Amino acid sequence: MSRDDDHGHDMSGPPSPLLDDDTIEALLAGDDVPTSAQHLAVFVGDVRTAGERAAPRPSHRLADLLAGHDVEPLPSLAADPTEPIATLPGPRHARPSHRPGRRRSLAARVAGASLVAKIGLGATVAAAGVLGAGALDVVPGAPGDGLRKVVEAVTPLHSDDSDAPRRGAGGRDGEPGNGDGTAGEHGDRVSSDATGESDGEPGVDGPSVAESTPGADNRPPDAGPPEGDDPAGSGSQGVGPEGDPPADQRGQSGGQQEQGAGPASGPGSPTASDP
Amino acid sequence: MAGRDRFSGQFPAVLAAARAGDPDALGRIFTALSPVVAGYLRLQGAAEPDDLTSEVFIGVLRNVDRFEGDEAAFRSWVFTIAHRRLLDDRRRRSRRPAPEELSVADEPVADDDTEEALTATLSIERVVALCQQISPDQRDVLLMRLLGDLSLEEVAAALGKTAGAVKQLQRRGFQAVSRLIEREGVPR
Repeated sequence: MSRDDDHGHDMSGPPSPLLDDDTIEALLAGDDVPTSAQHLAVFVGDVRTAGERAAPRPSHRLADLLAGHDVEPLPSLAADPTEPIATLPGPRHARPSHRPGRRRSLAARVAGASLVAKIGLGATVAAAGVLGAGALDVVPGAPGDGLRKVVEAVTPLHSDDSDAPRRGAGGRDGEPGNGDGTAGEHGDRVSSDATGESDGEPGVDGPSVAESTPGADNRPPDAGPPEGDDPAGSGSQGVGPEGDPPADQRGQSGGQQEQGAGPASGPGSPTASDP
Repeated sequence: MAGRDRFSGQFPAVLAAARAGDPDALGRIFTALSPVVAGYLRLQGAAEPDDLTSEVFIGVLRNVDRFEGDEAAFRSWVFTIAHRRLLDDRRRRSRRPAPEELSVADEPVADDDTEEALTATLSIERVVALCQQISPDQRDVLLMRLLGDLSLEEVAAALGKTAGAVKQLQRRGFQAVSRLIEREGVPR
């Protein structure tokens, strides 16, 4: 038979006398007990002595309460004092639970605000939204122009002329745009490095460099640049297998990159503002 | 033994005055029950039993207007709060390292009866050591029965157990203490 108690504590030692109900009741009542249970009577007396000391010194908060002053409840005290405290921060998983509480708190504060405060808050939010939209050129026409002027007057943000097509949109004739509102002006603006205006040397011929790289012999003669090596980020509109453009047009590809016309916002690529 | 009536038969009047916020009644409740609550928390091994006792009575006195019942029920209610605060305190301390080991022997003793106080302190140390060697459930039951004078049913309600289970824990707790004392020698 195991000597462990009902919680696995090691209770090895001499077997304890069987305690009958009468002996236990006598112990609890402080009455005389059989000699075999005298040591338990001493134990019971010592336990009760521990509860007969003078009242402990109350804390400052309790002293205030005993003096008749109401005190704020500790944040750790549950509404029902007999319930375990549930508001204590948990080890790690309890942290996100504070966020919905904060949102609820904000909503509750708004709901509890006066009518004038709610109107003022709504007007502020609406004005901020309209000004933000104006700054992003989302508002069309004359109202948008007015808003842009207001925003440009108070911020370093500057927008294009209101008559120009929106950024990233195609040309007016439906041709792919350059990302600056102009349509298909490839080659009009060529880097001075490519034309040789800056140093007298024309730009580096990309395909000729690529042909000197390892593996060039294994490439089919009409293949474009290796995948991932597209220096202009021209995507589907880039220089493809149709043939190498002249050096001045190759420089134009680099010019597109300078204009931020990558695959996502490049010429003719779909954007949120495209119809 | 510690008497069940700690209010000299005036508990209903004390409770009514405490509900009205009478400082004398609030103080009387604290004086009558704080020693047994502090003893319970001390023998349970609470690190700072006096501070925890204050926390218990803040909860008691702030909610005394919600209590309905006689003195026995009130004592049971107070011990239920004490037990929950003890569990909360243990959880709180388990998440942070203890600053230092506190011992009941560090408590100040009066100069006039130093020998008697020292004897009592050593006795409490021995009882604390014995209580720490039995299972927590057995300890809860024995201390609530001996210090709180709670009935089997009241202990069962406070601990969320059946009266039969509490009676079994009480018997096994006494048997465990008996074995420990016989092995280590009779105290004193």
